[in-house]
Amino acid sequence: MSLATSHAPIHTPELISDMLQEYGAMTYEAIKQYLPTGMPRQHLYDLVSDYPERGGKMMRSTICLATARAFGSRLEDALLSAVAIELLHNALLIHDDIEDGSEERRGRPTLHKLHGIPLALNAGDTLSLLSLRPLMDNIQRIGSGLAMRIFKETERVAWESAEGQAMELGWCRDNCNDLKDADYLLMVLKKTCWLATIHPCRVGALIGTRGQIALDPFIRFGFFVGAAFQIQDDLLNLVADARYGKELNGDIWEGKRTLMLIHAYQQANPGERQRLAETMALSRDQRTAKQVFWVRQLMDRYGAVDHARRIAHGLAGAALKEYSAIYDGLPDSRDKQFIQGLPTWVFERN
Amino acid sequence: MSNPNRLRRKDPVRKGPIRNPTMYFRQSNSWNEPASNTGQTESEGPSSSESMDDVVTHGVKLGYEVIEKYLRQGQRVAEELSNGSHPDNSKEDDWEKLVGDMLRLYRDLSGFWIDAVEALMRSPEFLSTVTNVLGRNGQAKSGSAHQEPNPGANGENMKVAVEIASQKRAQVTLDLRPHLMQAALQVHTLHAPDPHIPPLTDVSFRIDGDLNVPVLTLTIPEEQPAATYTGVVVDQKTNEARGTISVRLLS
Repeated sequence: MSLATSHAPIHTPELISDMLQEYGAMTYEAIKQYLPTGMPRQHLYDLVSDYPERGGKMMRSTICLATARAFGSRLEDALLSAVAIELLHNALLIHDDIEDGSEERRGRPTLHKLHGIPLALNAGDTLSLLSLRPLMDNIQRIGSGLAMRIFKETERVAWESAEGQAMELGWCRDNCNDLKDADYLLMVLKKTCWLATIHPCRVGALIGTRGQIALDPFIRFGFFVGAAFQIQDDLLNLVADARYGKELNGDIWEGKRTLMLIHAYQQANPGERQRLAETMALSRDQRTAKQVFWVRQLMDRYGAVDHARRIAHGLAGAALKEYSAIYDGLPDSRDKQFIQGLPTWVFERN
Repeated sequence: MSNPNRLRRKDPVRKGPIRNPTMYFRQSNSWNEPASNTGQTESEGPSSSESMDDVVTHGVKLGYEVIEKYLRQGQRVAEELSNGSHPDNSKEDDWEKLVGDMLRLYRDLSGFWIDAVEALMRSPEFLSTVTNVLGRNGQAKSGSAHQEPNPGANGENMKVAVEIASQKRAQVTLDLRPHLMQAALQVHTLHAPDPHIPPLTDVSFRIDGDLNVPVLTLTIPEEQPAATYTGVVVDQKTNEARGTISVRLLS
């Protein structure tokens, strides 16, 4: 049975990591063409280049390239869009780190920790502006009609990301604790899934089919993969090691409403709920290590980690089903296998 | 018949059949049915004592609920937009915004163009090229013309002959870079600013064996509207721009 028709989960860590490395390197080379090297370096362009040069997973750009290739596109026709996606992602990371008060990114201090909030904000704005350049260059590469559609897709992903970020920040500011799992999933759909998986898939498919494809199925597939990815990311945050590149229990320190926190609150007794609400009402600076440890223990007491992990597994299973609905008819290829391997790879990464 | 020693099961705790549809993996569009009568609400979620299957099913069910609701909302908005019944006319707003975004982009890019042009204008090489342009003083009349050479900044003489076949008066201006004697030149189609006016296509360079200079030949159709037509002169091998040509056709 070929992979084209097989529904069995595949375990292809080598393929996934190989392609992330290969397409990631290609995208990074193209990104370098867009990173300004002039003045002022110290206060702007060095900062603009910092996050891209730290070398992330390049998952988003690789998904875009692989999807485009799976649908029959040439790699170079999708490269500019992949560059735009990575630049926008890095721009949003700078802003997210400021908004969340994060301290580490990709194993190093966050940009605002290194240079202060005003310069980091400005660098984020510049990166965001820079992400428009390859979209303009797309006009020459793939034609104005398709380039315009991708431009509109990019506008949409910016809206969705902003709305998702607003939901999460609003919950923290207003100390919302009585949240449901569905609230979390909707927030993740907007905050994470659109930019991480849905948008790269849609753009890749648009390029691969020259715009001749319905895009809604990619929202389903991208949502299930992206949500499983985000939950796993949240879980890794609780067991972080040096490879993870983020602060251990950073989400609790930052007051993030993760699936684990929501579950712990739902299962807690009234006294624990009260104490949890009071703890989460504090700002990061006010919260103590002891309080963070207590929240972490509460999660363990009520099996929150296991609960979240199982939900993530379920979502990954649904992603495989939605994958089949989209990709089964396509000829088998390395790119198609990469997409198929994503739902299981989510749990294999560290 | 009755046997008092017969083994008897305890009465079950349940009062009726257990029907929990969330235990089954169903089609994505079938999750909209009401939840089972387990007495558990979504806000409560599965209890910590539930089996792994329960939690997985809960996650998948919830996932489909969230995404299908989201898609339905999107479809509803799309339908309203396509019917023109959206209360805030956001379709027009959307386009206005998109055009605005594009304009901002162009403005941003034009800033770079202005910077580039300013840098070019300050370049000594460019300035020497400007003073070295041949066509600035050579405006050919209809018929055949031969342009006198202009000495270049470095003293090098450059010649270009121009042959025009036209029933109307035409002024030809050539702006060519220096050091072109060895290059095989090519002219692309000459366009008027009005896109509805047909371009001048019969224009080319050849080398005159006797004069040993490039000859620009241009044939202008009788019905060609009066306008100013411009195009780029390129190196035939590299396609790099070597200058511009402008033909002003008088009525």
